[in-house]
Order: sequence, then structure tokens, then C-alpha cells
Amino acid sequence: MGKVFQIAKNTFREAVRDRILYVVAFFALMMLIGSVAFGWISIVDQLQVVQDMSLAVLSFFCALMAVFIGAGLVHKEIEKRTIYTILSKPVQRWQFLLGKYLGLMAVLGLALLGMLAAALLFVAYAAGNSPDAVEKPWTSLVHWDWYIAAGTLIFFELLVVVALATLFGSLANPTLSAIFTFTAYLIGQVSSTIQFMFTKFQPMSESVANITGEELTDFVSRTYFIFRPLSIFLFYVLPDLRHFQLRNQVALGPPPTVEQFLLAVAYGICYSAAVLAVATLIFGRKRF
Amino acid sequence: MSAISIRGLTHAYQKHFWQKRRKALSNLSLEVAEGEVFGFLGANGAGKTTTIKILVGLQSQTAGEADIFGNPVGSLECRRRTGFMPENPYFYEYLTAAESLAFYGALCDLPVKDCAEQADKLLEFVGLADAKDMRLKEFSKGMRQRLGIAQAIVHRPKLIILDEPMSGLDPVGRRQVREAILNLRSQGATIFFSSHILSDVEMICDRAALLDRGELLSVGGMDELLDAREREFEVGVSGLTAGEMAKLSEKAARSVSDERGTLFVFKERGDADAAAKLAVERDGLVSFGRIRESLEDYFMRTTGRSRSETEQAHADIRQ
Repeated sequence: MGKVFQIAKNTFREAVRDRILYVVAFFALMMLIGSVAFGWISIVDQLQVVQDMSLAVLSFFCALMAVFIGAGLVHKEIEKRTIYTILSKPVQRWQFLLGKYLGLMAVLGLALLGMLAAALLFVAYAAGNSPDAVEKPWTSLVHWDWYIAAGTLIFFELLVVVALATLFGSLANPTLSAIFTFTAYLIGQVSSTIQFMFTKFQPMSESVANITGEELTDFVSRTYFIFRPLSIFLFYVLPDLRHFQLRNQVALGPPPTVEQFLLAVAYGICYSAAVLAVATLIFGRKRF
Repeated sequence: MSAISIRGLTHAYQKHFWQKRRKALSNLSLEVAEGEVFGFLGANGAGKTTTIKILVGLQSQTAGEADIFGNPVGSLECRRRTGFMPENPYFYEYLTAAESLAFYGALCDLPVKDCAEQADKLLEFVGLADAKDMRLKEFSKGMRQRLGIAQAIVHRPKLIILDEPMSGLDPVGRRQVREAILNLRSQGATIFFSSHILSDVEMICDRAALLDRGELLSVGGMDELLDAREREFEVGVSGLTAGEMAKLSEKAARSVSDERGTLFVFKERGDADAAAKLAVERDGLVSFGRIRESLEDYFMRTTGRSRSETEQAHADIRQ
């Protein structure tokens, strides 16, 4: 693992010295401030909106960083030919890929940590200015542990997104790879909803047909038989990123459980490990 | 045991699935002995870089075999014994020279505590000790090239493969690289390098191979490759009378004059000797020399390219 660590350290060092990361982080911070401001002008429970929005912005911006940096992670090395001096050394392909992956995760983890700290300050400020703070101490108005748990799960969501970006990056150029990863990210946000929708589609159609006394139309049957396998494919192959979304529960309840948290962590680790294994197989066959 | 042993190496590639497969390398067989400096020559597209990439495990062959110290190319053991500098080497721009070398050292299983020490030694060796803490994005091309050599030898490999190490360097840079190569050979390393700069190959190589359009045209020592016979003789004279000069001009293949005198080029040794004797009698002999075939002449002769053909090719490229 020494070489993996060296490559990860090098990736991390390169990234933290590159100004582009700070530009993206600054932009994310601005969006965070914007989201909090949006919470303050909303007419519903301001503290809930600030909590919900800040976590949504964190998740989206970190995913955006993961998509764009992750998609070019391997390609940049090939394009700049830095890969020649590394893979001609006694380094295995999987060590290179895993090192790059872990290095980027360390960078994103650090960025997430900084943004989460900023978000906590905003939430604390919103709690202090909440009308409820007159009756109760402001620290009791927010479930800080839930909030931090939700922020931590964003990291595990990033594990999955970066793994997908690495996989697509081994197959295609950075633009296509970013498009594929971002599409997978968006579908991943709703894949369980699509799956749920199609499990209800057939019985619903049958019920309608029974009530109206009509046969199921060809169109309904066709749609069902085409889209049902597709929804199953999307559900089982693409990640189900709803596992990592605790923000609604943080703001509105019900309280997230330890089991729910651990399941999400395990899902993130297992899914990204499987995707990285496929990426390694593809990358191992690549010639430069 | 040979440092490099290549048997029937062939590489074909296809840029897109609808295009025909093209051979970059065709049935190449070659042996490089331990401890020699071996030049790998060829025009652009001859297959030099493809061969090198196969040797260092970045590319795979379509057919044939290649071993480095008896280990099949691409294996970890093979890469442990080989140092490689790619053409126009690129590095991580935000690292310093010392950090970069320490990183490469760690990838080659050097103990972490030795990496920094080895980095210092190598920077001294390639003349970059003053640039130790400079970020690589501030490095000139010559400095990158020298750092490229340093990273290739960071793990003290027995075989060093350099792809166009002199490309784009000024005369001082080329001289430094030549000296570094000779230094490494004196330490017992085998050096295999490709180059366009034929005079450098002629100066430092023990043996060379000439590749053209993916095929090996010839391989051997410099004396074997170059026509050892004197081809022409040149005699520089001054202070001769107009009549004597006219007599020499009749026998000379060509001549050129400037304020210091006239240089006659003769095809026959006897004519050159007679001219030299006359000049000595008149106390006007400036120089006497034999002209042998240069590697460039050999290159052109063997690849069947004439100067006009080369110029035509350049004109085609410009169009």
C-alpha cells in the first residue's frame, strides 16, 4: 500500500497547490451564503430551510467538484504524459488508479470539511436569530449530531460519484466522462423513485382496466414491458444515492437511525469498491 | 546475458475500427549487450518510440517477444531494472524538483529516508542542485530534460532507456546530456537511446540500429556501419601562384576560397598528396585531412533518401 499512499499523497499535494480548487471552493461558499440568505427570506420555518438548503448546496457542489475533477483524473495524466514516468516504474495499474482515487477523495474530504464547518456556522447563526431562541437555548434548536451525520454521508456519496467518474474516465474523454457521471448522479438521486413507480405501474393499470372493464391497451403493455426492465437496470446498476440523503430528516424528522447511517456507509464503500474494480480491469488493458 | 533481447517484435494499430490496421513495427529482432551505449536511429514514424514503449510496458506488442535481463517486458521485475525517460518528459508542475525525485524514488521502493538523500545526489549529478526547491512549472526545457534523466536513474537501474534525450536542447544542454550518458556507462549501466541528432549518436554510441518505416535496416558498431574507407581528401593551401592554383583546380573535385586560402577536395589520394607536397615546397600548406562517411551520410544512403527527396518531403508537409 506504500505506493498507493505515495500516489495519493502526490495527487493531494498537486491539487491543494492548484489555484482552481480554491476558486471552486470560494464559489461553493458563495452559493452556501446564498442558500442561507434564501432561508432567511422564506416564509416557512427559517431554521429548517437553512438546514435543508445548506446540506443540499454542500451535496450538490461537492458532487460537481467530484464530477469535474474526477472525470479528468486519469485523462489529465495521459494527456500531460505524466503517466509515462509513473507506469514505467515498478507500479501496478491498480495501485496507480487507487492512489489517484484516494488522493482526490482526500482533497474532496478536506473541501467538504471546510464547507461543512462554514455551514455549521451559518446554521448556528440562524439558530441564534430564530424566534424560538427566546424561549429555549439556541443550541437545542438544531440536532447537531444529525446535521453532522448528514454532512458525513455526503462524503460517502462522493466516494460513489468519484468512483463512477474514474470508471467513465478510463473509458472516455473528460467531457463525455463528466456527462456520463453527472447523468448517473442525477439518475442516482431518483432511481429508487423510478423503481417504485414501475412496481406500482402494472397493478395500477390493471386496477384501472378492471374498474372500467376494458382490456389493457397495447400502449400500456408495451410501455410496461420496455420500461420495467430499464427501471430495474437503472436501480440495480446505477447507485441509489437516496441512501446518503438525510437532509429532509435532519430538518423535519423522523430522526435518522444509527442502522440507517451505517447502511449508507457500507453501501457507499461496497458500491465504490465494485466500480473501482471494474475501472481497474479496463485501465489495466489500456495502452499509451 | 543480453540487457535487451528483442525477437520478431511486431506492433499493429488501428486508430478507429473502420480504418485499416497499420504496422508501426515489423518483425524487429535486436540484442543489446550489457554495458554498452546503444543508439536507436530512425526518422519520425520509424517505430522507435513504439519499440521503447513496448520495452517499458506502456504498449503491448501484436507479435514477438522482448526480454530485459531475461525478464519479459512489462513485468514488475523488468521495470525494477529499467529506468525510462520519455520524449519531452512532463512532470507534476506544482512539485519542486526535490519532491518530484523523492516521489519517484518512493515508487521504486526506495526507503522514504533514503529518497531525499538520493534526490539531492541526483540533482547534483544532473546539475540542478541550485533548483532543488524550485517548482517544476518554472523549469526550462533543458532543466526538465535533465530532471527526466534524474528520475530515470533514481533507483539505480542497470538499463536506462532514453527517448530522444537531446531533442530540443541547445549545444550546452546536449553536451551535458552526452556527458551524463557517458558517466552512467562508466558506472556500469547499459544505455539505450533513440535520437534524431546523428552527430551525438556518432560521438557516444558503441553500437547503433537503424529503423525505417517499422523495419530494421541495419545494426552494428559505428565502424561497421560507416564506410571506413576514406572517401575524399581535403588540402588547404595559401600563397600559391595563379598557375599552380589552376593546376590544382583541374584535378580537384571542388574547391572553396576565403581570405585565409583555398580548400581543395580530391577524390584520389595521389592527387591530394601531390597538392600537399607542392604546398609544403611553397611553405603554403594550411591543412590536410581525410573525409570519412558521416552517420548522416550513412542514414541517407541506407534509408535511400536523397537531399532533394528530404526537401520535397518538407515542402509537402508545409503545403
